[in-house]
Amino acid sequence: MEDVPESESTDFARTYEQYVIEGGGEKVFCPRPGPQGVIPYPRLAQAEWLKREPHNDIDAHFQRHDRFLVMDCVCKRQKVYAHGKSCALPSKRCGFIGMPPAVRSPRP
Amino acid sequence: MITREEAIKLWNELDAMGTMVIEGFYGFTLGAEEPQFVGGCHCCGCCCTILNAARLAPLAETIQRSNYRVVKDHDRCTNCKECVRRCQFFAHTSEAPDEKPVYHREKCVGCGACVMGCKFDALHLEPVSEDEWFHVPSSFQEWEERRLEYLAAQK
Repeated sequence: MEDVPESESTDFARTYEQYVIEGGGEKVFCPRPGPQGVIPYPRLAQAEWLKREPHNDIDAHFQRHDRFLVMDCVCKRQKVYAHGKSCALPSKRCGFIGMPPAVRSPRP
Repeated sequence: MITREEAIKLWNELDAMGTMVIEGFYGFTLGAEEPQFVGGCHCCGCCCTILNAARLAPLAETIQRSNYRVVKDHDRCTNCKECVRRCQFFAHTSEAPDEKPVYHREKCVGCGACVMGCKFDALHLEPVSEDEWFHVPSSFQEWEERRLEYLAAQK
């Protein structure tokens, strides 16, 4: 993990953790259906499974778009801000690869 | 921003590290009109705020489980405990070093990380029954309406 700028607020990072776990997280995540769902590992998925749940097809997602938004792992940075260090996983990216919001259709 | 080829290459590199907690999520975030892939989780329980909220805080259903669960063949299990190491949701626990891990279906989110790590084919994923099947909303509007119905029912 690279150096953390001194301007970053440790208090803010700790407040965010508290917010997600004890406060706002419940309002956002608890109503069912949740905002995110688990996709099984694609190498385990059978064709008929993907036919019934096409949103689980990660390969199709990669073919659907030309460009992708990739971010550093925000939680890893958060951990550094709040506690001074993070884990030793080799990648600073958590694997979040998404379609850029700007090219999505606006919400109804 | 990266190209498709770069994205696939990065994804495969993360996958090859063998530390992918959950390979992918679908969701309705960022204005998506239908459920679509939003990303994967390559971090671990020590860092991820949302993951910790899901497994430690009283937000047990923070992450919607998949419609698949692990089936374990105890005869094939060699007690290597790789499943215990891989599962971030405590669905596989080890009570004693010389005892085979126990699978807790009620804690399983159906990601298959343990299945990917089992070299002895003792674990595999199976679809849940129709009674247990979670019907993912087909549109953002349906997702939002169902969440509003849920909130109304809580009052």
